[in-house]
Amino acid sequence: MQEYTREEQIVTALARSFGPEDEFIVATTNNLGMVGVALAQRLYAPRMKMHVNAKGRGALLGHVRLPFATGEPSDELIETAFNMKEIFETIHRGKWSMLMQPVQIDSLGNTNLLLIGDKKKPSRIFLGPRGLPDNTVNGARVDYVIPDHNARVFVENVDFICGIGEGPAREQGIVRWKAQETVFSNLGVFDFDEATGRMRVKSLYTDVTIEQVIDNTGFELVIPEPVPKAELPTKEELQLLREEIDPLGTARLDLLKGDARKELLRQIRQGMAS
Amino acid sequence: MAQDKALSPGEAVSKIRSGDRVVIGGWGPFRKPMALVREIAASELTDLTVMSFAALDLDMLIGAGKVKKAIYPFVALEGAPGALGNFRRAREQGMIDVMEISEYMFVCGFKASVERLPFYPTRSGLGTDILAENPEIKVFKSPYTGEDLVAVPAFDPDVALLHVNESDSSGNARIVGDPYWDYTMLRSAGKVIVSCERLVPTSELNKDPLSMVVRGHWVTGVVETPQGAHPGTCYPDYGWDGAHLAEYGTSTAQAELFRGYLEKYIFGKAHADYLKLVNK
Repeated sequence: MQEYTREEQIVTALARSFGPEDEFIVATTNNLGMVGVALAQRLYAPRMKMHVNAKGRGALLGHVRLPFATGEPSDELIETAFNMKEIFETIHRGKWSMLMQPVQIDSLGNTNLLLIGDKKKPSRIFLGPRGLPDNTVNGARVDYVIPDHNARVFVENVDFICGIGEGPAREQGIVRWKAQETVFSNLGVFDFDEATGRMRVKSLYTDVTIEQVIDNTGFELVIPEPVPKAELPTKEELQLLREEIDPLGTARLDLLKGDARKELLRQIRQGMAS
Repeated sequence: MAQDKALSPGEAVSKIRSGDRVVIGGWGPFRKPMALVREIAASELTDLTVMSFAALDLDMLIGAGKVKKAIYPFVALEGAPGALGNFRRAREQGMIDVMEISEYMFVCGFKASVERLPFYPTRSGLGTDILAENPEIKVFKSPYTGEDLVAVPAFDPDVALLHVNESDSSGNARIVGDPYWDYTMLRSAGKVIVSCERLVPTSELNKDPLSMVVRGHWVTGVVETPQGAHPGTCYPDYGWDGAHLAEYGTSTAQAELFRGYLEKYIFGKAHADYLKLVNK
């Protein structure tokens, strides 16, 4: 067995992006996000709370251990209830951080969660604009966690701008507030060049080459020379992840497809039962 | 003295007119007034504009041919099993009119109506394709700072439909879990129909009077529908029915299959019949 896995690199990079001053609430929509935030709460950002919608009751969580049984956190993890009205006040005042997985993201960090193809007759409809227009204007942070970095997701222009990036609206000062945006893919971490607003390589994981990133990105990235490498997971991080936070490996689910994913899900269910 | 507003589902739905703008409370598969939605699906109503943080409610009404236009920030099962094929088909083939906006823009349309304003201001939507796709949503300059703001027009729904845990017969009602935006939605509508898990005496609600999100003076009619949010959740009374959601999802794969679902569970079925059919 190698010393650490790709998903451990992703969640440690994500966790370290939060710090002791971050006293906001964070919500995530995939397993990598959940595990990364749980690690950050323990090591780097103890004041940060995680929000989940627990089947009809919003809840703030502290020391998360995954997986929750069928998505429902147990009572000892729930610190308090938190309703939807307060969520939006929290977003508006810049105390909400969103980690989500868009359908498309473009060179300026605009994101799409609504549709692919023609806006009136799309070839495929997805969830909707949801809170992306709200969060990207008002939130504390919006981070994109993308477990399948490819040129269909990383496109020159998204088919429908739901979340706003560094485009004309920012340049012309039309939008007053701004959420900090970072992209965590399965290949590396990406931020945005201050001068051009274009997506930039921040760091690549071990065994990932810059050619691999270029081949899987549908636009020209800003690439620093030399290409920065992500710092390796520490022993403390790995121990926490494997023994306390995610012993059954839910973070890996996001990187798998088809039968491999089904098999891991089966193992996780078996592990939860025992 | 308490006023008796208790109605049957059929009597409640008879308050709705074809062409009405109908807002449905809840969020995704959570605490939706599905017994009322089923009653509409079985009715003669047509050409509704449906506004919802949507899931099965919108999908079912589209599948039953009731929807002319839908206004929503999302159509999503929020982790519940199944599929929403009626909506997907209608949207991908351009069979319904849509206004697709952000979650907070959606809230703003009801806030404007509650306060009898023509619009509600927000920054949400700036810089997105929502504005180009919905030219009826205007941008204006703040008279104080000169900055651009979005003016979400008042939605002015004709009818609001909500599901709650407990209500008295005059429409004072309690929601135990997250009230979502039901508080705002119901106060924005011309008529309000509340379905509840249980009718209770007012004295029961008055043990915790501030928990009454719904006050009787807003309410047109109250319908007692135990398991009324099935197959979705009604915290803390029940979670979702995964097996039924899966059956529903499969049935939405084709219009003909969904016709079979409607025949089996909805057409000519009273709420009590439905509960027997789903073993509740």
